[in-house]
Amino acid sequence: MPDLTPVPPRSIAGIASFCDQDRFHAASRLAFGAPLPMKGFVQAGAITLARVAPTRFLATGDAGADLPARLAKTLDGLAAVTDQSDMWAAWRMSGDSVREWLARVVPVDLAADIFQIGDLALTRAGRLDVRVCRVDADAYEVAVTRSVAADLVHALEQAKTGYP
Amino acid sequence: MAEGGLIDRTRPVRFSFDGAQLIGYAGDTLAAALLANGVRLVGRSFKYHRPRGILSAGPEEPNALVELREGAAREPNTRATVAEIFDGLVCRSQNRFPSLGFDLMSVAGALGPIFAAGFYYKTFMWPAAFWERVYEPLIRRAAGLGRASGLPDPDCYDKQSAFADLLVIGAGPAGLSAALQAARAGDRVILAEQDLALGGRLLADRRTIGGKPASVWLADTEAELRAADNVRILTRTTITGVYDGGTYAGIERVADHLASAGGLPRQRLWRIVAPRAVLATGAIERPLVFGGNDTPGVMLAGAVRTYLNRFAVKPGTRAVVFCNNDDAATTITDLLAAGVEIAGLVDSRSELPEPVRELVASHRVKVFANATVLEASGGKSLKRVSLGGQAQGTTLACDLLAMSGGWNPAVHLGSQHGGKPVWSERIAAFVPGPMPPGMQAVGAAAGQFLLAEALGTQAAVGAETDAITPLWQVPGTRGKAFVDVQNDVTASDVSLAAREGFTAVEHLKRYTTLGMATDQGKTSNVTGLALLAALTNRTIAQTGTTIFRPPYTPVAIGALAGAHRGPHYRPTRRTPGHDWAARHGAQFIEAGEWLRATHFPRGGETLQDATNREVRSVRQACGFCDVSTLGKIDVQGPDAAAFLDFIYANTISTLAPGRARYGIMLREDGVVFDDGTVTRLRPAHFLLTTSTANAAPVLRHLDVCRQILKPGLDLCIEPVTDQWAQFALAGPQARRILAISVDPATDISDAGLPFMGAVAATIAGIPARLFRISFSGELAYEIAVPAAQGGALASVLLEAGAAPYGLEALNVLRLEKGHVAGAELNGQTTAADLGLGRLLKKRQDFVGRALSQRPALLDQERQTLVGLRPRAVGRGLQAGAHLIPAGRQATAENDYGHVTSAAFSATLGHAIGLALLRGGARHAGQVFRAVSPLQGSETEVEIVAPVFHHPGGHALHA
Amino acid sequence: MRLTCPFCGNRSIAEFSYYGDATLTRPGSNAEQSAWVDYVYMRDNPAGPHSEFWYHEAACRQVLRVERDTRTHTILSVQTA
Repeated sequence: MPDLTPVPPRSIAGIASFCDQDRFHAASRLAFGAPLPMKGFVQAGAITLARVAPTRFLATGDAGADLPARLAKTLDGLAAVTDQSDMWAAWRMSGDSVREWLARVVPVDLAADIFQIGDLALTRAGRLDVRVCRVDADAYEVAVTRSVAADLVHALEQAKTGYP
Repeated sequence: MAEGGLIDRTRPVRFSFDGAQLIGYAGDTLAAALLANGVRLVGRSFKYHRPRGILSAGPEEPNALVELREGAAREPNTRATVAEIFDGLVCRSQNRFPSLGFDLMSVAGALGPIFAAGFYYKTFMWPAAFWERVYEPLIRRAAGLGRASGLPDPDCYDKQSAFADLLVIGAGPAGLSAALQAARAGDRVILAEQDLALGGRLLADRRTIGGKPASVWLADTEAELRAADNVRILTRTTITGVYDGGTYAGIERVADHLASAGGLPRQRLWRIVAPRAVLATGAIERPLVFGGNDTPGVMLAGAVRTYLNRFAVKPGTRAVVFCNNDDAATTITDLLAAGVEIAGLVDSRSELPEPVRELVASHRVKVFANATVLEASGGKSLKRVSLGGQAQGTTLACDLLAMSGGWNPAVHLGSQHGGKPVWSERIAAFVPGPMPPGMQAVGAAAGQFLLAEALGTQAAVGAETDAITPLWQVPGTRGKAFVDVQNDVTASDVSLAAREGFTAVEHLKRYTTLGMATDQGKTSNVTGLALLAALTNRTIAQTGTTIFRPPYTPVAIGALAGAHRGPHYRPTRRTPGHDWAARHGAQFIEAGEWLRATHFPRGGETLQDATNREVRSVRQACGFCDVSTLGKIDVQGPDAAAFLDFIYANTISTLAPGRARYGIMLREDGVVFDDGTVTRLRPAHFLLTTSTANAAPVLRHLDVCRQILKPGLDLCIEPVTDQWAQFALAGPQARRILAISVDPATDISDAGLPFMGAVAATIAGIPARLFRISFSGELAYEIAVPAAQGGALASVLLEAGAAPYGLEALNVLRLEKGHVAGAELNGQTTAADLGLGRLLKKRQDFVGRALSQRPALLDQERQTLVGLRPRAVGRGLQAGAHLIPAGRQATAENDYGHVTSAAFSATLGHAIGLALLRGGARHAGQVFRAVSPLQGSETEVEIVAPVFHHPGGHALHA
Repeated sequence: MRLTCPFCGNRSIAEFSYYGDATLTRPGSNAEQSAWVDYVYMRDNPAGPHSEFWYHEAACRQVLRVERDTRTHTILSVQTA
């Protein structure tokens, strides 16, 4: 059965590296205890690290993790850190036919062997800019900016009709 | 017929046609069920209201257009040959009054000569005024087919994206073979078939493959394809368009065949991306052109076989077969097997090929070689045909005429990128020319009509030939000989067009409307241009053909809209304070993408009353307003300051940390782009605000400037609009109110937080950024908190004694201070026009500097910013009104500019406005007429300085 | 139309904004007015390959330099700007 659950608030830091990539990556490896992913997202302990553009990342942790403040200090001078904890509204979609359901909203190739666990895509669904992550075999997280949350939910609920 | 066919006789279906209750079976199309019930008259033609029957058995059907369903779900012009019947389906014929059998408008047929092609270019011309008011409405009412319901579409629609290595369009033998081959090779395949079942012509003709009935091969092939997990099969799905980049559009009829959609979308738009495609759309049979060829009972031979073999329906009891090719002759076998008498085979060829001679001999059928049908007659139902050629003078009684002029490959999708189809003499038809990238044609769509060719294997399929001798028009016919039956275009219309000089095939189409009906000429285009070729002494190849645009068949607008309808046409953005405002009685307005509170009415307050009260509360005490919609962009890095100096027209790098500044940015053509506030949080960390509407355009501009124009600078740009809830807190009591909830460690005294200062603080425990900036001209702050806390902050401010105000009051307040906003930053005004020219840097380069200094943009006669005050007490001002010097006529020559913003000022007790006026401040003190021709109103105004309240601005520094 | 973004992959053109001729060089701030007028207003309109900027607005926000045939919309190449 299709399931749509809101993702609870999290601590989210946007990280955009300055020109000195070497120093930036060295510092972030130290900070997270793991290298930043080349693409998609990875787990580094309790923190999820996602690459959204060649030099831009999102670090996500539990609500109390206070990542933006900590990372702003650790990466001072190496990257631009922004607090994005309140900027996003995300939902988890799951179920056997989740890819058919998601394909009615998001125009990227979701084939299981092409969009794999740990993959991420930023794309445009109709007029909504969305971020899609495959978090499990049959589970995805879809995120939009906070102000259009209601529109994403509507689109996802609508797309559920005719669910096989 | 009691046996045979692919229908399910265990599931009868009750439906009605023009009120008559009829019964069909599951698997029947409406056309098949009507024929089975002996209904042969299904409509009246577009122009002449001639009685019409069913011509074909597929989506190319031009005649059998009916209205399905009732009420808001009523759909006109639906092809009965595609519609599937279901229990309770209500159908009606179209374009007839009072009834199908007795249609008053059939008199139009008698007036034929007046209504020849292009008649509306030659008649109904005088008097000129009558055209729009009298003639055109009459003609429209008299012609036309179905009626739209006029009600909102009650169904829901869906869209889905799908990706594949190969899209196979059409699941006949060629398409199925191609899909099978690709699937076995490991390709991801999507197979799209417009019919409800796979098989194409294999469902209609009795063929053998490998010695067994074709149905066995079909079942095996379908089973293998369905079992493959790299194959997606879409039935009831018409591929309607081929777009760039390997993108295809398909419309799936999800619930059209169901009595109740039960929550399913009625139709689904498929967006398919595939680098390669196979065009296996088959071929469409051509009618022959002779008198009365539109009489009900005259059908395409292939369609007759479909009704006999697939639907177990006898379209008649006594048949004549009329053709110019070998394929049609096979209809004889199927007719005889169904028990239909054959009155004769009329073949236009003088030498009949061996296979046909054998056929007629073995079945003892009367043959008329080198003969034609001159006329089919019978009015509402075929009764007889009169022969010509070698059989001149013979008349055959019959109620079914199975005709075939050959087959046209369905090249339409293949030509949607402009590649013109190519004439093939061998099959007397067009085959695909240059096709969209990645597409190839197979089978009948490629002009390969033989089953062996379609299958591409050596499997034995029995004897078959595709021999044909073209016959474009039967010479010496009597009566109307139709070429395009849907738009009622006859062979003489084509002659008329040629005589009048419309000899280009595109002109023929538009002058006669041949091929312009809802069937897009699928059964008429090639015949029409072949006639034109003969009339103009050219070959068909020389005459050429029109090409095709999407969609291939009509598409419901609802399917293109999907879920983007009504309030969901586009996203609606809500601020973090939205729910709080709604709970506190705010009224909202759509301002661009956002819902914004306009006012917070109390009791029975009108908009004006509430606005006046809110304005007074800010000027006299303290108010707070949700300004979260402003764009916010975070800019950090070693070169951030240098970059912002390049972006903004005024200097940014001199801003000290903890300070904010008004910033104005230009477009490269020197016109103002946007304005906002730049705050330097730390030496290499800036926060920009933009106007609400320009949040995305400014971000785009920054990204493009950095990556293209300043790639060497080290900085990062990040949009953070949705991260922050932001409230303006304004009024003489603002500091006192703020002090109630701000943490004691933050010094918000005038010295501690001076005008244009910024500091981090905590407000009732909420971490915040505090800016001392003012849009209202009062002592004011802007407070930014993380978005989730927006509602909480609003409650805190309300508790502390501030009054909420909305967009209307916000606008009045800024107008009273002469602050420019969107109406003044209209994409045509320069900084100088707005009185901000002095802010522009003199020496350093910035975006827009060079062209901002163009003579035309510095011209004294430009329209520049002024203030307006009505001369008479109580008079209003209309934004958009034009300014005419007093005493002069309201003409374009005397138009000196227009009112950009206007409102009633509660503070001053009269209306105020800003305007752009030619010559600007030079007219200070003069009187102008503010004229609104559309509203039919005007007000006399005096030109004043563009600031109305406290010009000195001392309140800001309190 | 579709573009293959080097970072995001093959995407619909709906995710991008168009920024026009990629062969232009922004004149120096002391250049002649005519050089600026050309830069801001004048464009060639070639029938054939055209080098142009597309901005991947909905996704990675990279500006891409694309060569597109204006007659057929065939995308000949895509690179970061």
